Amino acid sequence: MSFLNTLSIRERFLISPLIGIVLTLVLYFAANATIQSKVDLLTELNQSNLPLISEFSKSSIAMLKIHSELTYLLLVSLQDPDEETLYLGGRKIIDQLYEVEKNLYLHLGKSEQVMINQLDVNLQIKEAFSHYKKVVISSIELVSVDPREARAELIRANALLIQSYELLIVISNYYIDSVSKRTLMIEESLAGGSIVGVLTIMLMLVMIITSLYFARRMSSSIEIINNVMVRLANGEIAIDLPANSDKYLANSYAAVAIFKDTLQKNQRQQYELRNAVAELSNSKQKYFDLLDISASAIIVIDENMSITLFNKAAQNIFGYQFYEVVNISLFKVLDSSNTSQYLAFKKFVDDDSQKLMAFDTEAVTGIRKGGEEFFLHAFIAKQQSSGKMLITISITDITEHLLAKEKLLRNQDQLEELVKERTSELQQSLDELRRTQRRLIESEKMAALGGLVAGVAHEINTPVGIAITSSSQLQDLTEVIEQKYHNGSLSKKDLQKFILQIQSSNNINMLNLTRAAELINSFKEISVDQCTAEVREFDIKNYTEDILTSLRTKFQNTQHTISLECPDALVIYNIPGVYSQIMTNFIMNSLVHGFEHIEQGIIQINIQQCDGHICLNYTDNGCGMSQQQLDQIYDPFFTSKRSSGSTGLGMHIVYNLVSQKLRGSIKCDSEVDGGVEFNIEFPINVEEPPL
Amino acid sequence: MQNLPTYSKLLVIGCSLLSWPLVAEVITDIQPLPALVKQIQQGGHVLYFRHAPTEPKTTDQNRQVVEGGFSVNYNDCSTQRNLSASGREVAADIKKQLQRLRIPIGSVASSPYCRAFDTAKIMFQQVIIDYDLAYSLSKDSAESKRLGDYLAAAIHSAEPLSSNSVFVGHSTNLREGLGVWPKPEGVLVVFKKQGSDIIYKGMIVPDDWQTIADNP
Repeated sequence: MSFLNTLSIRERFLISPLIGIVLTLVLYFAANATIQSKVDLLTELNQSNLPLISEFSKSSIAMLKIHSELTYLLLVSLQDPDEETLYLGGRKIIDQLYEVEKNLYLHLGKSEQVMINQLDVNLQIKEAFSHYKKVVISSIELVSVDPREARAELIRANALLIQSYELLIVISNYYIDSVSKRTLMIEESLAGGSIVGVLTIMLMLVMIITSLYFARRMSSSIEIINNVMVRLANGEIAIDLPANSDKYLANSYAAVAIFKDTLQKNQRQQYELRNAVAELSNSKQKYFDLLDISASAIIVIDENMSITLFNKAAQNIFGYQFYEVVNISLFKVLDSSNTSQYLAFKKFVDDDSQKLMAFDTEAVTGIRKGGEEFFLHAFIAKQQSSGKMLITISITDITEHLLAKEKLLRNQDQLEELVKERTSELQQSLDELRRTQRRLIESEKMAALGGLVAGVAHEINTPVGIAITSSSQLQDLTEVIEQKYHNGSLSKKDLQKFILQIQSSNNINMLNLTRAAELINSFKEISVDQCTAEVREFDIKNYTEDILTSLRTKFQNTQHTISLECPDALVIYNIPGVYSQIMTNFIMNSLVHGFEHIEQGIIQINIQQCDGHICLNYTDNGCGMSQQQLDQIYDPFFTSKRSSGSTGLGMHIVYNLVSQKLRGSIKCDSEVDGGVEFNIEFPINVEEPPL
Repeated sequence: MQNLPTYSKLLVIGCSLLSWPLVAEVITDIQPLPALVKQIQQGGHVLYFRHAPTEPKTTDQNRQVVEGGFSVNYNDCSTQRNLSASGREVAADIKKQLQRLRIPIGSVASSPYCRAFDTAKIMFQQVIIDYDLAYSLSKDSAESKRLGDYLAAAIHSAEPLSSNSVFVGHSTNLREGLGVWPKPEGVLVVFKKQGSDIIYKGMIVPDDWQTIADNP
């Protein structure tokens, strides 16, 4: 069975015919063999026995004929012993004799060896005939010479002829017997022919049984499918599908399964459809109800522009009852004098491709029952329903809206006037503010300058003071020596001591004055730069060190440290005065604000060249700032030390200087108690266009 | 195909040559006995002798089956029908007459049968045995015809000039070959070749020799 299931449908249908062909072939060969055996028998019979018997008969008759002719010849010789005549007759007889002999020998050669009484009959016939022939020839030879002797020979020949005949009869009988036997065999074998008939019936039975079996076997699966299909088609959807063991019917089984699924789906869909239809009817009613309770006025017209629906809101707006307008032209309630609107509307109605249209940018004029005109917006939707075209017009009364809009426009004009006035006032305030800002900046500058001058004075005061002290001490010593000299009490020892004192004092003076000169030089440089916005080349490292030197006095009695990291010989083309003021502000802010409660403050300045720019990183470990403070740090007048005399302009100025003078950027990061970090970036060459 | 005429000619000639004995015509031109004797005295003829008379009531015995029929044992004359005593006399007489009449004798061919060979030996000094001159009666039709044809061809091919060619044989062979039955035993049949034809001029029976002798 499993072998059958592996065959395709077509191959299965071929099995029966194939078996039929095979069985037919078997039948054919069986019948053929049977027929062939009979044919062989008949052929054998035909080829040997019967012809031989007839040939022997022919030979006997020929011999008889010869003998009678010979007898006649002899009789003739007695009457007319003409040698030539007798020869010619004899010659004829001899020729016939040889002919008979040839035929006889030929057929005896074909015959099987027939032994009777242990004697070969064939051989005996040959010998008898040969003997007979000799005697006949002798007789003919004698006939012309001595007819009497010839007659004696004839009598001998007679005896030999009889002998030959007897032998021929023997062999003929033998063959007749043989023929009889074979005939019997053929008859018997003909009876055996019924085997073919039996075989035919059996094979036919086998064919019928196999055909029925395969037909049943092949149709069983298809019948199952068929039954299931019929039941499914009759609506028995709940039935279980039979299991399939048939490889080549798998698709059919799958198709049935799909059919069942489809039917089930259809059933569900039908159910859903009924629900949907019910819902639709509901919603239709709801829709009409809704139309009536809708705040919007809705009018539905047909293809002829006749009103078919006129909801409550529309009745309210237009003042008509539904029965007053039903089947009345739409243009009884809408003004059709605006040509462009009318044409657009007509075009919309005629154009099937358009489904929705709005008259919401331009007001349409409506006509109330009393003839009063009003403005409305209209949305028009077109739909096909049951082959009929319905046009739904949703109408909004915009008369009040238009009035409100008009009023708004008037208010707007007044507002603009007011804004202009306010703007003018604000501009004046701003100008005032800017002037104040400038003054404050100036005063801040002056304050910084004052601080600086005080610092400078203090710095220079020390060495100059030491020099004055030293000089005054030397003056005292000189007076002592001068007195001793005039007294003449000046000893060598005193002079030597005085010289040493002069040298020492001179050294002190030189040292301190040099120091003072250095200080003045550096202050001069800074002060000059602070005043000027001159653009020049300078070594940023040296310049920064000079700034730190100028501020040393501020840190004199503290434990704060300032470290500077900067590559040597980094020359930039910028405004040194501005740079100096920025650095001073940073350091003073750290000192005044950051390190207010810190004993060992650390300031780190890191300057690097990055991409044609100077990247300056300034950090301290001061008290830092809150986010709020950080947000306000660049605001002018922002300070936490107003009481200490701070102006609150320092970082504002720094921001302005960095962004405007250095053409760079500044960024500040800080946390409360986390110090502060400034990152400034500005071009090496300030006159180059910014990147 | 251009050779076809040539081949056709060759075929015709070949057939003519091979079948001349069949087409050769025997023209009978019987001469009166004296004229016949005179003509053979001049030579240029073929003389066919049937063997001399044989012993009556006897036939060839102990015939052997050979190709084309029966044959006697040529070496055993006792089994054959032989010359009778009178037959020997006839032969001897003919020999005398031939000598007397100075009939020129050329080649002599004889049948192997004893009665023919004995006749030839009695009559002539030198005899050649030609086995194809054997007695044709006991042969089948084909062999009998062949022997007849052979004799005709042999007579036709003999080219005697001043002498006569001699054949000693049997009656049936001559009848088969040239349609002439020599009768009786010991008879002489005279032929003359003329072109492709053979002229049968007549027979001289044994008794005629006495007549010729009586009328010189």
